Amino acid sequence: MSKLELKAINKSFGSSHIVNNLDLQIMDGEFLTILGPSGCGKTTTLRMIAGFEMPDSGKVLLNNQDITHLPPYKRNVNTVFQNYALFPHLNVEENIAFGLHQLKMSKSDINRRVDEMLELVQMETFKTRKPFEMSGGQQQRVAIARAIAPDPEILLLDEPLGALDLKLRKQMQFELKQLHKDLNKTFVYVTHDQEEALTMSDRIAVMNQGIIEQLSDSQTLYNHPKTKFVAGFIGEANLIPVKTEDKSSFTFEDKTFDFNHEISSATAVLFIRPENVSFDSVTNISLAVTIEDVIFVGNHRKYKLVTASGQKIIKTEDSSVPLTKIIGQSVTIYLLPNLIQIYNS
Amino acid sequence: MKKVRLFIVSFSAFSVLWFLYFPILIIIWFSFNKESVSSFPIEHYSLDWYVKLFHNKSMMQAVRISFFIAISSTIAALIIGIPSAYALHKYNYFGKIILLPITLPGIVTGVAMLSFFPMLGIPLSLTAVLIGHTTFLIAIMITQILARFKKLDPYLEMAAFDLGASPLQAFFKVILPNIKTAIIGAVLLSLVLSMDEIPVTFFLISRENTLPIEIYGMMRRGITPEVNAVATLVFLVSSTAIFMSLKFNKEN
Repeated sequence: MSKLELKAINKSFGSSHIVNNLDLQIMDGEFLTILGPSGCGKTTTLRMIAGFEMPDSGKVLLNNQDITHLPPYKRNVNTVFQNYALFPHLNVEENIAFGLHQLKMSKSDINRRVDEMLELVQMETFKTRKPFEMSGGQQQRVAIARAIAPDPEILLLDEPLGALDLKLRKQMQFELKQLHKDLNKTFVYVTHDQEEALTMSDRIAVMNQGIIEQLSDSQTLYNHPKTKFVAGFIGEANLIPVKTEDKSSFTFEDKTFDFNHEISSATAVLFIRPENVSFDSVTNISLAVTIEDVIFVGNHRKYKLVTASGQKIIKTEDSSVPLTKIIGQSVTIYLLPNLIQIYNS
Repeated sequence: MKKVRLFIVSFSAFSVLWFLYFPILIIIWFSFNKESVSSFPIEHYSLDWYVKLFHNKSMMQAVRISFFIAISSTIAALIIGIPSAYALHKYNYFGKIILLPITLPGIVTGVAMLSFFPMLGIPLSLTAVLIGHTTFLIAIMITQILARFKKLDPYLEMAAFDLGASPLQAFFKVILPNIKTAIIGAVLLSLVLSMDEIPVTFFLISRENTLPIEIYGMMRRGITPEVNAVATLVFLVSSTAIFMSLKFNKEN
């Protein structure tokens, strides 16, 4: 059952079209991430779900109810903001209780719920602290507790880890994932950080220039990106221009390989992940290259390869594999057809 | 070298402060002089002038009127100023025109009101003074409170809406508590400014005098040490209020 549905949403600010005829269905209980570069319309989309922005056209449905024009305070949807937005004049307990007071809950119920929330985010000892007396990570936990306390239908998270340092961010990623599991609630998460998206989400919607380029789970997104943009945005990718004269082959540097694809134009772009470029003759799609450089990057090493025509290709390999190649050596690389994608250029 | 520079800076700073405040110190000193002639050396100290002041009926009346005008014009400015500042913060229309009453010389405002109020049927009176004070205090309120609004995190209001607060509830539960200190600061500043306002008051007053006008009147009849006593008290009240207003504005 879909919890939330966006139907043909359009939103412009002045002359710039931020969200373009967007459709999105979010399932009950799923952790959905909207991922994209800044300015792609992801935050605007989230704000239209929260009610801070109204779409120019289209519909927002929550549990099949039209909430498109409801103000934010009439929607049972809560947000965790990037800068926390904790109320500076209230302490932790009062911040968490804010939404509960709005629901006109009894004092004892509020107290019980606040304690429950503090336990959930492991902040029991901070009950009487003011926001400015806490670190960024602690404030973020309180912000999450405050948003969850009124038991919203959907929890919206607007780059909630953006302001934290790397180590804390990684830790919070796991905690959020755990929280999602424990609460069994629908999370809609907005980020520009692909690693964050891949780690936490059930499904990821990759957004670019106001449209969703691909909506799928992390693995599919990584291994089978549907568009050139997604291929380039998620992880590292080799994007190699090729000729495509017919739909059953492609040509690269005068060598033609059998490969079925959907491209009807004469030129296209071949995609392959650096880790899927192989030195072993596992396939008949092979290219002669020269090793330009070998870089050691901790758990893997990176080969900078160049073809006769000057096309650069990156290959990565586990550092546990013994290094047998040297810089300047000519080698042959093989590309597995099932890990290749061809896109319109 | 650094020490020398520090010395020069602090020396000039203290000289300026001394130049500004020395006359006030002298007045405070003379207010305790028993003699009616303000000259050194002071032979006998007394509180005679303060006692005399408190028995001066027209002076006490002027103090009461000044307090009345200051408090009511501040309240009026507050009631108009807070929503105006909020609206300006949200929708930034008229731009800077709201600052005009502060930048215009009081004489211009005074003369303008002098000729305009009778057209509206408002006679020269304390009511006219009250309206006059309110107009420039509104400008003070708006600038002080607007400055705080600008510093306020816009996400706070969004968070309040998000958690179910209506715009009105968000204003009273989240915005107001966070601009409270700016409001207190602006109120204190307004009280002080109204208490010693002369030019606008001068044009709009009828028979009942405010304190500064009363003192001005006394001066024309010749300085008596009573003026020193009044000045000392006014200085005390004003500086306390200003000090507190600065303190509140510094917070957050």
